[in-house]
Amino acid sequence: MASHSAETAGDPSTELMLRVSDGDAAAFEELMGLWQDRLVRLFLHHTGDHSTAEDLAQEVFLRVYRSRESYKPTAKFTTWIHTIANNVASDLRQRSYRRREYGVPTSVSASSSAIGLDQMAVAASGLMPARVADRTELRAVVQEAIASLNERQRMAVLLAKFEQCSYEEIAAAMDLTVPAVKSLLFRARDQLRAAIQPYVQGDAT
Amino acid sequence: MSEPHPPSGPSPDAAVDLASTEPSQALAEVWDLLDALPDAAASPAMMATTMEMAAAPAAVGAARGRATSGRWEAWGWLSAAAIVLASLAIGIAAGRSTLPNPETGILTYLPLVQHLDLLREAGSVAFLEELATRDYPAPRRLPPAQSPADVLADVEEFDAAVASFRRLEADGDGKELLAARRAQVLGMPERERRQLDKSVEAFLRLSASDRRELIAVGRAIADPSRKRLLDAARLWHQWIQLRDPADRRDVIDLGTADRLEWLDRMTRFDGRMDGRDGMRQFFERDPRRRPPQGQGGPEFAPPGQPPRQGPPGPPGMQQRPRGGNGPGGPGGPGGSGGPNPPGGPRGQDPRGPEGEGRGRPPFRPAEPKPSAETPAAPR
Repeated sequence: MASHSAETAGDPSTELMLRVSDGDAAAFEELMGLWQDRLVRLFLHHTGDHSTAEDLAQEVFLRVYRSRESYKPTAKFTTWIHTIANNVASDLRQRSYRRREYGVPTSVSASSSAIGLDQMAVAASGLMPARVADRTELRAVVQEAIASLNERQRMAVLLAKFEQCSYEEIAAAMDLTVPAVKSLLFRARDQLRAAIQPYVQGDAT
Repeated sequence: MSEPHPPSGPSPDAAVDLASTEPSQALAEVWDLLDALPDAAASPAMMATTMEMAAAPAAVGAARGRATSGRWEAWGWLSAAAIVLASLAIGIAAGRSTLPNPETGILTYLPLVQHLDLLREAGSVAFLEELATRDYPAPRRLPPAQSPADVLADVEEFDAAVASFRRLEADGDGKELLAARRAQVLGMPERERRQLDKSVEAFLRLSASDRRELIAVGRAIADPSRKRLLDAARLWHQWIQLRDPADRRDVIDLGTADRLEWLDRMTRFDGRMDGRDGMRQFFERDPRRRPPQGQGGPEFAPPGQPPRQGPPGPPGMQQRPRGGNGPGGPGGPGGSGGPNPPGGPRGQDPRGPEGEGRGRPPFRPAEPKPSAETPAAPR
């Protein structure tokens, strides 16, 4: 078994992954139990579709399993699996581009994102009267606002909000620098605020 | 990827955002709004499905390993097959080295192969033996469309063939002889090489028994102690030459009895043509062509003249005594003018059918058989 770094010592996911790398199937199952809901949620908010989210989460686990023998606990498992998740999401985006080139309909998230942008543009223009959204409506508005972000902004926001990742962890997972992550989040915040503002103004007033 | 510009321009508190230490600070007021997003959980079947999918590549890897071992197994079989084939090839090569080489056989019997037509014409030793026991005359006419020079050339060719058959017996089949014959073949003019190639093909097409028979014929002709067989072969060759070249094959393919029957008819017919005997005149004109004294016969008599004793004959051309061929006999003056048999060689006589139908009933040949037994029709 590989030796732990100070950063990874005591991380349950890292411990499980080391057991997986030793061929422990039960550890892999346990690792999946720890992570599958988190990954499905991350991808659900990223894609807007639960089925696609499960497929992507499954792909992450498969990549983890295939890489088990080369896994080195030099960094937190969390960062490693987030990196894999970001790569899977990027692959989905690239596949989506290729499908679009061949005339195949784009993913649900992409289409819903386009619709949301149109609707929010109308809302922001003031043609739609401002109103107070209830909890259900607010959820839909936030979903559309998230969908309006570009892929990297969305991933950075989701990693920050739902995975409680630091700048450094987001930067490591997305292969960016910390300032780039901060800029990414800054722009994402402005865009989200602009999209959501018409709905929350009534509540504020 | 270029980031889209924020819809409302740069935030006034951008410096504060960039100085933030936590993402929650950077997202500020929208942070809490993100809590409105629904929670999500994996479906119950997802873990089992993922475990199966994770296990599948391992099974594929195992199968790949089996396929790899299968490939090695296939290589093993291929190696064994290659060894077997190599052994087979070595065996065949060894067998060929001990079996008679066809080329060696052809070179050994090269003289026979070169004169294969003559041997096939002679047919068999049995036929020559039978022919030698009978007293057939030599033909009185020139072969069709042949000049006297052609006849002499044919005689020389026949003698050369016999001489080569004798060398066959004398030289044996040693390596030096084979090398000499190989050199002989290589030194042949192109036309002779092509002719030899055809003869070789014909020789190789013969059955083993036919080859043995022809080799026996060649040896019999070449045997000085069996000169009567050589004389028989020469006589037969002369008669065959009367046949149109295109039809000779029909006679050559006959068996011994049919050959002799055909020869009976030909000699009877030829006896009626004695008055127009170009061959006789040809041999009478040049004393050098006459056979030695005592070898010729009185059969050559100009039309209207009594036959002379000891007429000349060509060298090597058999001239047998023909006791019945005196005046008034079939070949004598009284026999001239008889009709040719139907389809007979009347047109082969360059002098034409003079005397046809004069004084004698039409010639009735033996029961006609297909073309082989009937003298060649004029062209």
